Amino acid sequence: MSNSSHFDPPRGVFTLPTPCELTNPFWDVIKTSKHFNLQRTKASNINSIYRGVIGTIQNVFDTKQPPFRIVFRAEPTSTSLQIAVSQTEKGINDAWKWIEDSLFLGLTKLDDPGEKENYVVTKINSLVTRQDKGTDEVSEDESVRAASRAFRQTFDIAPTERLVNFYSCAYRSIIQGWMYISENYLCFYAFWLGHETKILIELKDIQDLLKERSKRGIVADSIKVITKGSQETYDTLMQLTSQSMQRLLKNAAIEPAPGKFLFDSNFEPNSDKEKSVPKCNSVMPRSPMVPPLKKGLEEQKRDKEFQMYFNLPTTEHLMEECSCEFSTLEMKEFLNGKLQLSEGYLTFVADNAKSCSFILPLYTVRRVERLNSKTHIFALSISNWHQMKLTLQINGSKIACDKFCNKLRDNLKEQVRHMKHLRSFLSTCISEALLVDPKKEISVGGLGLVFGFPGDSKKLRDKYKTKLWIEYLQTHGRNLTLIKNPYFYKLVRVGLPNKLRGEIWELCSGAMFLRFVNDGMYEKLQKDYAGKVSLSTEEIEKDLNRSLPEYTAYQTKEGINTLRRVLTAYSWKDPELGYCQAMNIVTSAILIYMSEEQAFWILSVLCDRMLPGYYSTSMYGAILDQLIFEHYVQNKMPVLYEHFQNVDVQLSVAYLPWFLSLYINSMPLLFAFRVLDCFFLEGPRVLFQIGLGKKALNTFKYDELLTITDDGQFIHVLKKYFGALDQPAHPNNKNDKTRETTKFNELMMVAFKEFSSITTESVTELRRTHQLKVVHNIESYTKRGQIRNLKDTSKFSKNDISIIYDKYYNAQFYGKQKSVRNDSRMDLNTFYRFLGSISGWAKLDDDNLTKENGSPRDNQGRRLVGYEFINKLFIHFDRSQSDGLTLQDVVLGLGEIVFGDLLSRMELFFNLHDSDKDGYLFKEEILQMSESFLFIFRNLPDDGHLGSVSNFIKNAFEYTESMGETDDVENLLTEKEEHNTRMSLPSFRMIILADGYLEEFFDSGFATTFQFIEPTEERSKGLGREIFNALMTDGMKLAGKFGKRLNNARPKSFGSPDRSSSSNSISNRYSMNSPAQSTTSSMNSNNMTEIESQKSLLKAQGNDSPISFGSEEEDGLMQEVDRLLSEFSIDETGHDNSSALSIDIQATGMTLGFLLSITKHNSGIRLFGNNSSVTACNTASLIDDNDEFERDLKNELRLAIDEYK
Amino acid sequence: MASRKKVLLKVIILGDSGVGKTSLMNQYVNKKFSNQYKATIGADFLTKEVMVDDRLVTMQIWDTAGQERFQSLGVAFYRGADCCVLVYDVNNSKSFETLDSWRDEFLIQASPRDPENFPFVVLGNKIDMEESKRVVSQKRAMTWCQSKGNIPYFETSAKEAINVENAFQTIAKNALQQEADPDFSYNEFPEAIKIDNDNSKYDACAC
Repeated sequence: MSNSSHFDPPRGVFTLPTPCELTNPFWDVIKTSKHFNLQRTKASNINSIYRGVIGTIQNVFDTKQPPFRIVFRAEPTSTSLQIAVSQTEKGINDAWKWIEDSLFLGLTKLDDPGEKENYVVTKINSLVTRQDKGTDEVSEDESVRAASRAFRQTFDIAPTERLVNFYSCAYRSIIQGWMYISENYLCFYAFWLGHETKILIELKDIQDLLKERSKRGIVADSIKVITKGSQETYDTLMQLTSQSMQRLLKNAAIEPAPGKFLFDSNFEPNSDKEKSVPKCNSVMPRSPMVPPLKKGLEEQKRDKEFQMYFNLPTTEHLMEECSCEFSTLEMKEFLNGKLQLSEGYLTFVADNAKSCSFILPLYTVRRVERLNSKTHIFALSISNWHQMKLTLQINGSKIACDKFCNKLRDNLKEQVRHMKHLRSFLSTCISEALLVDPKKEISVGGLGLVFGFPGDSKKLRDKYKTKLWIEYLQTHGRNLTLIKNPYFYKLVRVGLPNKLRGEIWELCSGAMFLRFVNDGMYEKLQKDYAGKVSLSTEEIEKDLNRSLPEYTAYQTKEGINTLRRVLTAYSWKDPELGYCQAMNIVTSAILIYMSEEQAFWILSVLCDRMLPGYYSTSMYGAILDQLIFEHYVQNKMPVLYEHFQNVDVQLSVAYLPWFLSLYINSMPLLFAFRVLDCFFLEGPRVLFQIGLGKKALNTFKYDELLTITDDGQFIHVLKKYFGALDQPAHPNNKNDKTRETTKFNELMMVAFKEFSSITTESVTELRRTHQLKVVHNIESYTKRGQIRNLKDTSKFSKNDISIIYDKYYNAQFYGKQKSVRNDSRMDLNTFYRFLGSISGWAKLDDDNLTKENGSPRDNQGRRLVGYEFINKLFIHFDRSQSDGLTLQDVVLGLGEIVFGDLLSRMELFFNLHDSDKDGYLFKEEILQMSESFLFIFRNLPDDGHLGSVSNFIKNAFEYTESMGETDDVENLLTEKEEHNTRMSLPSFRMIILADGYLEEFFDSGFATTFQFIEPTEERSKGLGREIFNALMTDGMKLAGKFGKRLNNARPKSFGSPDRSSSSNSISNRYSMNSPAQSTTSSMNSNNMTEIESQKSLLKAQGNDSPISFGSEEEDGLMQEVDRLLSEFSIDETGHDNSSALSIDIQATGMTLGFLLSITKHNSGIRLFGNNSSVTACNTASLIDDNDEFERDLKNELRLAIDEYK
Repeated sequence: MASRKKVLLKVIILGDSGVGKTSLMNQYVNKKFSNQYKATIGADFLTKEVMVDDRLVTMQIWDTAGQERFQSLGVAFYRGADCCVLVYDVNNSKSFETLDSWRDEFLIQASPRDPENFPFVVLGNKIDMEESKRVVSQKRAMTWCQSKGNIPYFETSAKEAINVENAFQTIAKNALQQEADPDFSYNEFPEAIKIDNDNSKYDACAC
């Protein structure tokens, strides 16, 4: 089966050939051949003092280097290339063997050193790029490659995890080390004088990010520098956590998508969706070399801002940017501004954003000419579809201009194909018809054209407004080519005329561009899904008559059908969202002014961009905006806010519905449309402004709100106010003009004047920061709901179920990221991950599974036989045979094992391996079963299981042979081959019961391999426990060393006996398989040696060692320890996480001598993980220059030593 | 005791979308039925003054959104409720089956002192529809109510005003009992007295 004849290259060992020093004081040569050298770091077998020091220096200077490497050199004079590194001797030996096997022969045939080098480099390159496709191993940047490797090996993180950036930093202002930020994790690693500190936080667990100046400088007058580096970290982190949160939120919608077609679960929604919703991490490797991820993230962020600003489709990317001066024939002067180019659009925004801006789709450009300009090197004249001439004078160097123009030319060519749609598209724009003949009948548009527009058009001065708009559109372009100037904003503010309203909404929100690009999609959805039903369509049906019943159209079949078509089409377009109440109200209102297709696309802009998450299954967007709204109230109206807090009135009770229905339900309809006019032009901030304005109004006395004592009164007061919006604000004022001002006018004024500080940017930013808080709330709700919806909890306790739930979704969270499957059920690969998280024997390096032809391997790279057992379990768990597991499936499946008994478990095992379900196991199946046994037992420390398994095989065959004897002789002769290896369930039982080891396995052992441990301990891939145990051991030693004083200072630090005993309690025979446990034991042994080294370090202090403190300094040390402890205890009293505490102690004890060197430079980032908090101080400025740092370090060391003397 | 004071009773109506929560509330408070109600977004409320056991009480009846996803909004106004009305549509069995989860979620969100004895009332609405359409029998509903600690059960029609008055009388009565429960003595809620004080002002504008 396996191709053992060919020797596979070991995985994760080879690196892209990198120049290096062959002779380096840090390396010892172990093996050597003509061209290759196998080396080991000196640190691993020399004097323990040096080992500590060298380790420290290596850690400070560079990222940690694995202890073994292979170096290639074509001939003694040429450069050496590092081609492989490994943590273990075995790993490097495998690599060596492979080299001997595959390269030696080829090399001997070549003579020229250049050719030799070429040969090896090509070989290794192709090997690495093949093995490590899409990982940092093939990153362009050597330092990223090295750091990423160090990071992944240190933290046992999958090779596909990509590093974003890494920083030199100090943890808790004390331990100098490295901070790594990757797609999913934030890690810290330090190695100081033989002691390791590892911290790993999952980004999705971060609840809050605050930038603050480090308050805990050990040196009182430490210089605090906020470096650019730290700002960048902050930004990058924000973006990454944001993405994690988005994924988490998407994941929270775990029930089958409500809008999904009910009767065919495999129905693919439609392929266009993939296009319009690009994946978060879309950094696809085009060449074998990929740019560092950070670069990708920066671009992504820039694109996002660009898209948001101009309301462009998410397929647009910012390609070129330059400053320029813009004018048209009608404009009197040139305006300075920024010109930006994406695939399909050319955008301009003046330095004063409102004074002028345009978004020109390239497909509307008819002609571009280069002008001769006296003042500028480069000037362009662009004529568009509507016969307008735009003049652009580009500033900048000739090269930059040329680059811009070339790109523009390329993109224009690319977009020409869209031009042919233009004519038919423009026929759906009312502005075109209006400009030809204002009195002409218009055929395409909203329901209002047939059923009449709400309100008295005379009173609204509709004719006059229309006239003004026609004038504007004639000179400033229209629909796709419109140029916005301050007058445009004014015209929108006073209320749009009925006929044009829909089109201006569409234009302002950017929905028009979507509609143009996705021509025909709406109709296609109608056709594809005709007659199909989903949960969403059922919900829509209930609400059709409950949307805007007062409007005449919705009392007719025609109106209702229109509404139905738009809502259902949207539910098909976005089945994850489906349909949410309030969408019906918004849609029914906008349909008065817009055609179905227009409404459909504006709905899509609403759900995806303007109100993200409002209507999703968890409605997180609405919750988020409520938090932000409260934040604003607190800032702008503190008195009122405090009052509400005191009487416990929830603002959200009133404001949630209003935000959700965009005020349509809560104001007289006409005013709601005026709000919508502004909303589509200026974005979601309008909702906040109106909301705040309402409270701040003079007429609507603060006092009245201040007397409110419960939610009911609050709603009542606001409602009363809303109902009276059309009344004059100052009925008794003498001035006619003032008397005419309605309360609504006043509201608008206050909203936009007083709260002008609320900008789209600030709303976006707040949404991003508050997101972290909302996610964790929603999660707990979804979790409750999911658990409650379980029909059968299979005897598991509530706590167990809760843990299974967490693990299930945790696995899904990381699994989903890579798969594009739009399925809420767990697939096989995710199941590996899930099972590995609860059961030690099931832990596989899952990333190897996803690679081509990959069968799982253990960490030494051996192929794992018998892992198919997990596939068998998967199929067994999958009761509905849908190739996916729901939470219910998993609970029942696990329950069967955990709460079964000896017999039921044996039967389960038997059935699992009886692949043809004929009630007998045949030779192949028996062998598979024994492989399964070996697989499950593979991590056991003792060899007891080997004997039992071989006995099992022997007995199985023996027994069946004896069975053969009783058979008909003839039968035996003819069918011996098959029959003599046939085993039935009863005989299987007998064989098992005959072996004590296997009997115990089925009696209790197998069930106890499943550990339902709180995810907090397991969170860091077993590292939490690992760190904790290591620290416990070390902490105890330290406590012994420093004696009572330490204990007195922090008696709690070494407490928490529960934790340690719980980790011991599961150390029965089988749970030795658990990964946390086994790594712990290895960790502990590591620590033992490290502690030895510390001891010798302490012993050496009296001697002439370079960094001796002298024994008499111990008292000084002790004082410092006391001081530090008291300092930390202030901060830590609230935390019950003892691992966090232990880290402090550790830090204090170990690195005292180096304190001064580090804490001079700090600027901090503070992170709150769920259970741990990390203060990382960036000292990037420090290490900019390694030499300088070395000098500094030496100086500080000397100072420190002097001081203690 | 607060026996002579006017009392504010907070009643929450829960149930699936479209079972008739808004209609029931309006039928009871305004004695009107309309088929022009809009879907309830978030929450809304009406108040009504009633005499219960010779005492004048103000009922604050909260109507809620029925779509499941709205539950994740964290329904803050559940807190301090005196009675919870669970409504289902007798012609829709799913709306009956979800009563369990409505009840559980209410108990979690409102976290009353004594969840075992918190007053619920179940209403099977839309009995005016033809008998052939009915899918949840009276017996089935009663069995469920009994299993949850003898919840009072009514079959109603908001459209025809059948049993609505009756049901809400029981609701008010049970809510009042909850309110008067020694466990909920006013002494523990100093702010509760404020509610009463302010009520007079508030009622004046409510009429």
